[in-house]
Amino acid sequence: MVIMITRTRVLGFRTDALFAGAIFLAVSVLVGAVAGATLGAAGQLVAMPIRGVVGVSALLAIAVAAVSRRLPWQLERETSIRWLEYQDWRTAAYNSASLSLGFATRIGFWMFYLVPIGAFMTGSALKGTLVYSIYGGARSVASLVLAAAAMRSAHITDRVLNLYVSLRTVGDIAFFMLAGYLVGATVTLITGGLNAG
Amino acid sequence: MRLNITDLRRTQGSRVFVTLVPLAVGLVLARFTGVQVDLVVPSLLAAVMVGVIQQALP
Repeated sequence: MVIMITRTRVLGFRTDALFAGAIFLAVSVLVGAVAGATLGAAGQLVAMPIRGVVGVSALLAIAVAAVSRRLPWQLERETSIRWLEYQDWRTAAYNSASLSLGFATRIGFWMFYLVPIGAFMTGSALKGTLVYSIYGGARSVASLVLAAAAMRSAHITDRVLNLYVSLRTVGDIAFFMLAGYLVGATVTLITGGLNAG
Repeated sequence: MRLNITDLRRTQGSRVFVTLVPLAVGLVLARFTGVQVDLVVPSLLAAVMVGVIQQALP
């Protein structure tokens, strides 16, 4: 990931990392926005009690799997090395699009599933766009920060990679807490609507 | 005694602290704030957190 950013050439100069970073960030937000708008619009097509049941069912199925499985369901695939050969804007754009979608490569954390499910459960194309584009933006900004840090210190990437096992546990705790919140809030919304009706 | 967070996963009993306790905390929080906070805020929190910690993916 870091290599993808530092090897990117946009204008053909070694100093154009800034342009590459801008493309990287813009594409990630754009692709995230499209994915989120699609999921949010799909949620919008389904009326609330059913949308809530679908969302809660998905969350519970993933929660059950997360209890028994160490790693999340994911494609065992890394970012394509062939993209490095382009040596132009496509290296940044393709890599960024792949990262922003999330599921195109390894996910690593069960918490990722809250992004697409959350975008769907909002039942709004606008809110879905917000959720998924924030994910793409956060992932690309963090990648750019790490790439910038790696240019100054070669050991920083190894240090971050060494945190993976610990972060997986932290991610699991956050996943279960936020999934519980989404389930509880959805049940409250459904039962509140039923009582009002 | 220093707590190593990776040890939390190693025993079956400690899985409670990683799974059921956070789940219960989330459910209780939703019981009191769910309608006001909506479904967007927890989704946004998850989006930011997972986007950042995925940098540690090997």
